[in-house]
Amino acid sequence: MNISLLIRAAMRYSAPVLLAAVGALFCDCAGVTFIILEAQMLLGCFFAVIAGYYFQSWAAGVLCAVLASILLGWFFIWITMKMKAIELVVGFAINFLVDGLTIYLLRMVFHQTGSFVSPEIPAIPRITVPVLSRIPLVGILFDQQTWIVYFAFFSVVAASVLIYHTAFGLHILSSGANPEAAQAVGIRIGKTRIQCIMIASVLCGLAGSQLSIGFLSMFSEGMTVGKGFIALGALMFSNRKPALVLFITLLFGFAEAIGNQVQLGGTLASELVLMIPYVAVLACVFVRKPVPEQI
Amino acid sequence: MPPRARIQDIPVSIQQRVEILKALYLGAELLIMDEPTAVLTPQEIVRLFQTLVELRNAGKSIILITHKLNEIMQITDEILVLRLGKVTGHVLTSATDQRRIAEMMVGRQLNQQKEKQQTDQTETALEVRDLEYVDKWGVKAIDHLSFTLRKGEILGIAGVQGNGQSELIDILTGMVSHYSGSVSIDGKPVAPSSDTRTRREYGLGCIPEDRQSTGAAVGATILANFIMAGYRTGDFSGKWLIHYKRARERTWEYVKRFTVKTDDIMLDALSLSGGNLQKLIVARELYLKPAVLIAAQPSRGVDIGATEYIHDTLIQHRNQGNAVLLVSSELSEIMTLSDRILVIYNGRFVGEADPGTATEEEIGLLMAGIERRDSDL
Amino acid sequence: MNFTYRPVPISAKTAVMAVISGLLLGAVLIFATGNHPAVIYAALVRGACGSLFALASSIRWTVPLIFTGTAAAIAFKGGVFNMGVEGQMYVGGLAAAVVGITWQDLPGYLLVPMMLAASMAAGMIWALPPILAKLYYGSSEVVPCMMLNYIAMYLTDYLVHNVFLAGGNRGATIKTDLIASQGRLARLIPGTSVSTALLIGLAIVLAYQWVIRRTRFGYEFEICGINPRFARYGGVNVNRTRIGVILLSGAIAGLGGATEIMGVRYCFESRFVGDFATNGILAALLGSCSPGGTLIGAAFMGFLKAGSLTVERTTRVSRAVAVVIQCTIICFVSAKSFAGVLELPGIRLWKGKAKEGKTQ
Repeated sequence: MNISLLIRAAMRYSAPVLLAAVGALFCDCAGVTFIILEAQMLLGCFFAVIAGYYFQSWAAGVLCAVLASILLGWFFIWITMKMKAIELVVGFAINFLVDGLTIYLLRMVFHQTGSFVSPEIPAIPRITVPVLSRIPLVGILFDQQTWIVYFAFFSVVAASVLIYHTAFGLHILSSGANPEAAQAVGIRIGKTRIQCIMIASVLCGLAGSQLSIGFLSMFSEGMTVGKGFIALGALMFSNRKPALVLFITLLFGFAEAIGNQVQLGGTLASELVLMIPYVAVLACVFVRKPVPEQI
Repeated sequence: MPPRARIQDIPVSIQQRVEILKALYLGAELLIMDEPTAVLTPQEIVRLFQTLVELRNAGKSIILITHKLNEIMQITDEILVLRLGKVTGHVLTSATDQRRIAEMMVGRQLNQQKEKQQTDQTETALEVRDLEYVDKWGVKAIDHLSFTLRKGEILGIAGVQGNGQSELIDILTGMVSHYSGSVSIDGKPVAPSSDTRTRREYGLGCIPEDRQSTGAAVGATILANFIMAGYRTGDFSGKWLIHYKRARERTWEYVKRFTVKTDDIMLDALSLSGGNLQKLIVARELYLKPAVLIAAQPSRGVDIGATEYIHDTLIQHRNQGNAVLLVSSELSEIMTLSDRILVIYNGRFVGEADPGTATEEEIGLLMAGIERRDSDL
Repeated sequence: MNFTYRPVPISAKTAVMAVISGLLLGAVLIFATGNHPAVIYAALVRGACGSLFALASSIRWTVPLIFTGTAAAIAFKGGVFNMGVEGQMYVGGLAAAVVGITWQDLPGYLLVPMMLAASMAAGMIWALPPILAKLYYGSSEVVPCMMLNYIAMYLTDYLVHNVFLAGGNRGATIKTDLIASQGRLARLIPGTSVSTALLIGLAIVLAYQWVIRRTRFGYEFEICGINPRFARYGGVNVNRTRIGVILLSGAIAGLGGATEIMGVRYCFESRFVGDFATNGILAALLGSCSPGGTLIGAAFMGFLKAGSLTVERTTRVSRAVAVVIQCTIICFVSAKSFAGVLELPGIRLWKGKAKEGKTQ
């Protein structure tokens, strides 16, 4: 088994989940029940491929993915904040709405069923960071990845600074921890929450682009396969610590990468391999210290 | 002060200092403090007061809301006494004393003791020994409480709110389980781990102080709210089923008897006004005729007519040979209803009084934490 | 994040407004891809109830949703957001299929109850981890439920692929052998896929109605869903009730899997659940979790599905448009202020200014 290949693959698999988890971290801290990460990623996947294909530019693809994700975020904001809909229900519905929407558009616009593969879909170029990649041992981390992967890992650092070391972060945390108290000291909770949802939307858009044109340059129906929920899981078990979010998502990345290598080796059934990340998330729930629910 | 600690993890006294610091840092000219000393130790109170005096000398204005008379005398310049939303006194601190303020606090109106039958008060209904409870902030909310409630008796627990009454009720009803001490209901001992159901089966009923979140399920029908107490043991309850026809009859009967104003018992409980909801809760808790009834703030936010009715009901319940534990911060309510009064302060009983002979001033002073000098307790 | 859901009654006006907006959005989508909405909707209606065959097809697609919808409705009403219906349906279906394949010689009156019981037991087992996570590990039930859905999907695939694969079938589709013929449910309408599963489903809806209208358990779990603190104060063992609720929900979901296999497919097929679980959950949300409402919601979803299949067959429009319509409806159904928005279009668009920061 090739270690450097494995690390590179693990980073690649972690990145989308990580981006989504960081986005969820912002929303969670601000007190928004934001479960449409999955939908935003999927929409991002779709529009990255479509726009990339039409404009023959990966940059346009990424841009459109992010825009689509933001648009969906705005819909969520409008319907939950203005229309006073229940966040959980809307989130649930939107996840399936986008699933249907992408299938519909794929079939109607591209007359494709199942997946859309074409050599003309541009891929995000992979970058090998000039100096850093030469460093022994650490160099592998800066080798042959798209900028979104680097950005994903950077976003954890950025989030931890933004949430825990700035005034904006204080606004976020207080709107989540105690909305009344936050309002009492003059924080505009609605605005703060909207900002957080926007951050999450951008990150999910990027995650979607990475999934679809970051490595394989294709779109297939429902290609996010629960990655948004894995991100939610990672967030839940991290107690809002960015470092732990990073650790857990990397764990899943490695689980997936190892699984794929094992699958290539043919020693383990593919179905079991595909199960690994989900089992890992589930296991996380039960290895924690038991906390009885308070009523 | 550890700057990186989470607010939830530090002692309440430091939390409070953080709050004061925050207000000062934001450049407050006027500082309003609501019971700032409730959670502080005497030494911390001294330090807080030093700070307040410094602030006053620096030209800031401070409004101190407190029920502790000694603090008021110690630190304020001017006193405004509020009672039931009305200003009942406005004096300079230098021109008054604690006794006069206590008078203004409790009022001087004559409270007619309600007419009560003679009852046999020899049997014990509720026995509480050495109760201790530390709340989630690490504050000792209940400190060595012991008392006995007899059948045919209304025992009033007087005290300013937040002196351990809510915790006491939660312990007795089984809503919290990590306490020490012994409780027995109607002669049957209950372990801390025994749940609300067991306690109800032993004959406990409770009119909770928080009627919206604990006392009722708004969003469910009036019928559903009424049958909660009796759906297991009432006359409309089967082994597995609820006989809804009879339950509806019972509900209508009690709704009428307790003059709950509603057109239809299938309406959402949310459609009831506060007073009517409270009457519904009282009706529900009395339906099973519990041997021990805890009535917490039974007339809060209820109009005079309904208050009168609830009071009469409680006395009637007592006359039938049941015990009532009346917990109220409204002294006049305690004075009119109780056979015996215990005054709670900081989680401890600080005095017992006979409503026939004690004056409101005496009890008011006890409630405010001023020890009575004569040793007739 | 706050994963507590309390069913709120939905007014007829809100429901109608939501359906209209869903259909409007669908029309826009259809129009945007160069088709005439009226034509497509006509095909949809024709496919859902234009002929006896169409009606039968609608009922066929409604039946699984009655199970999944009731399973979801019971859980939601009891205050447990059981999103794991899909996984419970998979394991229930596999359990029934395995029993049906293994005991080929048993008479039908033994085999059918055994298959149903096996599916219910499997569904219950699959429903247990999420509620344990919620009650004893301070986690929400939503993420474990989602994870168990994927695990169930892959695990059943694995088991079928490696243990129960149909004879002479290598690689094409993952499915088991056919179940014993005496273990199949009878066809209600000959020549269609409507089986006695419909009767079982209706019986379950009636039973659900009976439980919440008559029994102590039904009263307990309804109150637990509305105000758990009040329930506890009144002497209800909230934890035990919630475990009961999700077990019931899991059992019904498992039963849904079994009846789909026993009534329609006669074998376990990989990914047979498809959109049954999600549509069932949407049906429950649409019907605000009441038995009748859920039944209507399931029928609506089933008719939409049958209609959309016809649309896909007879026109160039993909049936995925139905999914968009369904989900849009659900989005708007829960929106409290939405019914007021379009009350008098153009005259009063906004009912007062929405207060900022009050949406928690």
